[in-house]
Amino acid sequence: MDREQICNIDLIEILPIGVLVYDESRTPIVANHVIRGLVQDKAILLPDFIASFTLSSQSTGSLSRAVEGVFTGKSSYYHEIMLGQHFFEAWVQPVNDKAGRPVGGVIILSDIARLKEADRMRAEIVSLVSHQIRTPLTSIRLFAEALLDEQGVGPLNKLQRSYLQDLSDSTIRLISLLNDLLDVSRADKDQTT
Amino acid sequence: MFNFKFYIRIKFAEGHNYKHMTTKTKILLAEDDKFISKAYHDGLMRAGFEVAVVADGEQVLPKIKEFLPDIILLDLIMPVKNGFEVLTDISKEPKYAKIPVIVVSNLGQNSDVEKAKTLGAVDYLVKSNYSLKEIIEKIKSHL
Repeated sequence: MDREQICNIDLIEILPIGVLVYDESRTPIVANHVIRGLVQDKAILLPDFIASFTLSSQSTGSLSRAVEGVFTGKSSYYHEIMLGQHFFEAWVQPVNDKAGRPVGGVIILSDIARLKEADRMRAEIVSLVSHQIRTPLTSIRLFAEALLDEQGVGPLNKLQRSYLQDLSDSTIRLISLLNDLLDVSRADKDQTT
Repeated sequence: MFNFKFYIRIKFAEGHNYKHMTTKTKILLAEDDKFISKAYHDGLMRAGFEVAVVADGEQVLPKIKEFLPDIILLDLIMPVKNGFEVLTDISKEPKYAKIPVIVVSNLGQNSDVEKAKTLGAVDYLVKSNYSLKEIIEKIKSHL
């Protein structure tokens, strides 16, 4: 093993993401500390290792097909996968020899628990903020409409009616803007999960 | 105004025989925001309904038993017991489970709507998106 190879293996070892390199016989040849931690330092058999993950509901496809795909010219794969309740992003990339022929692949696993937690918190904040802002807007809208209705609350002069109508229209406009903002936030969330 | 006709309903009074009564439609309003509660209460009263109000979820079931409403307007975010818990409580009471419950909440996520409907709500209205007239139309459609 030359110095370059040793440096590469050392670099792989210290990465904070999981890296597993496998050869043409689908045998793992390098597994860094993150991968070893996931299998609790047991010997890794690639099919068992792949089978221990499930695809999250956000993903389609198959990790095992991705692992095989590197030998048929597929350049890279991305999946969101789960080990138990723990979320990872998985990339599968081919390893090519100097002639560009695929001689193996590398599985890269990135822990996205924090990302998932941030998404969950964002959804909670959106829900909370929408509720908190809509509540006073609702009462402003209802009271303005009650006054405009005049029945039971007394007649309005022309100027009062005009101002109240503006107040009511502006409130409804603000509610509509808030709804649009929430729609954008939800669409954005759907795209990132 | 709303041109709302009083409904003629046949009611069953506990401990008594069936008796025919001409009465106002009774609405139980569960709403903890005092301004929204006041706006709904006053508006519904002016429209000819009989309205009882509770300001937390725990009071809903006892008030149902006392007031015997024809329909319930239920907020979701309330103190002591939230609207989802209230829906669960009502569904466990065969005598009252058929009273239509319209959820009137400012939570607007699809998951909230689906959960409320699964728990038995007949309708789900995002408060800020509805005028009182529109809410009354919804109430009438579920009576």
